[in-house]
Amino acid sequence: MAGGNRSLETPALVVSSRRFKEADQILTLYTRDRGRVSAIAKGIRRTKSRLGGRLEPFSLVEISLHLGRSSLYSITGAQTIRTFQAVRDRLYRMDEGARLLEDVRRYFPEEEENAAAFNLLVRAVGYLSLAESREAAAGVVLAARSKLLVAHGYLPELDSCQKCGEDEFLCAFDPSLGGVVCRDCYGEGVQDCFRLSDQGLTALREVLVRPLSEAAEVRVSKAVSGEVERAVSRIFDHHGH
Amino acid sequence: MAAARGAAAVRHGSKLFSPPIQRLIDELSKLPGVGPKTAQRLTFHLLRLPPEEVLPLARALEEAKERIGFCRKCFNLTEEEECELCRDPRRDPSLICVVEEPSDIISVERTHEYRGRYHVLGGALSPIDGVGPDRLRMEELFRRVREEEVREVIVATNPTMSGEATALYIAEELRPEVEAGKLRVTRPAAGLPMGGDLEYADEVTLSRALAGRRDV
Repeated sequence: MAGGNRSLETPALVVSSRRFKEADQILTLYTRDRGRVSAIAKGIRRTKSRLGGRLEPFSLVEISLHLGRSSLYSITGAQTIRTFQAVRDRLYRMDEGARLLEDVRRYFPEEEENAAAFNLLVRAVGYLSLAESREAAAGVVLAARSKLLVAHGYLPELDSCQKCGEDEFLCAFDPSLGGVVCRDCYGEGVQDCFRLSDQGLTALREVLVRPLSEAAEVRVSKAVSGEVERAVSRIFDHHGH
Repeated sequence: MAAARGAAAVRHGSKLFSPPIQRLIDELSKLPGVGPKTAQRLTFHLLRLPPEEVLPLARALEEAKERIGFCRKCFNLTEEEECELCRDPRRDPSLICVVEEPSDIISVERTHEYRGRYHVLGGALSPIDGVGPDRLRMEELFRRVREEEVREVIVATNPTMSGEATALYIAEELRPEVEAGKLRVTRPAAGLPMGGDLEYADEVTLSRALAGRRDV
């Protein structure tokens, strides 16, 4: 930690928690000031813990952390900013939101500040808490995941073939090249490349440019959203940390 | 994590301890909440004890593992095919309290307030960790509810995100019976712990307590 200061206060979104020892939990947090961190919440599972229900996944808190001798932060305090309780009140919101948090856990670099990604994540959870159907929740999460790619510097190239530069007959997606390829280049010794329909390409462009606030209203077929989902997941798989 | 700790212990201790000692340290460090250092301390403590004090522990472990299984009805731990609670004719068979683990039964029983039966799920749904209903004893619960004359299911899973997800799932699956007026699906009230200070209550608990307020 800079300047020997081993304590930190920062807004953080609770990403996941798992039981540890008798009454502790180890949490994954996505903080505004230090990116993804792991921290131990001692005694949190006791009914009289003052951290209590503040540190459930999807909660936005002002967290106080201290780095002791181990590599794990200790949580010394937490104040609720938003509980986003509505996410936990519907199974479909939790199911869809879990994929968003899984991205944070798997691909977001540890201890790397990214305020844009943090703000986007918080806004996405906010919109998720308002989603009135599974389709709306899925729309928010898909749009948020796509935009999180961009926030991490992985803007997919969707306007021209990443092999030959052709801007017509684009028909597949190559995660290793980070964008689309044309029909002549598709299948030329690439392992991870997959077909992308015209509708899939249009939907992918749309989720990247449309504001997150409109994401819940976008309706595409399951097959098309599956294509977008696949492109986003494969880029994360390929380039994420 | 325990396996990784065990592996670390082997790396650091393989030249220091003879194989039987190392094996005991490795086995103990697989226990929840026991790290390599604690495992080492426990091992040396056990080795210092006279055989007549250590061997009963080994026998107790073996005996418990051999004789204890799951109740075929509620999946509580038992020596018989059905546990004592399921066999007790004084307990109300129309009430089922759903819990995550057998240890939760002990907590509910300590209240002396509940006289129904139980169902142990063996965990809770966790969308984030990919734990779906097929990994829990959900089907067995729904079968019990439909085959036995159950009028209330109390979902006493933990008040965590996983516990809440589990409760929502059970309520959703049993909705037809609830809508037909045959069944109630309830959840224990969430609120302030007795003896606690309002000042220190977290916002989530306090808002739940206010939502579930009752006449006095």
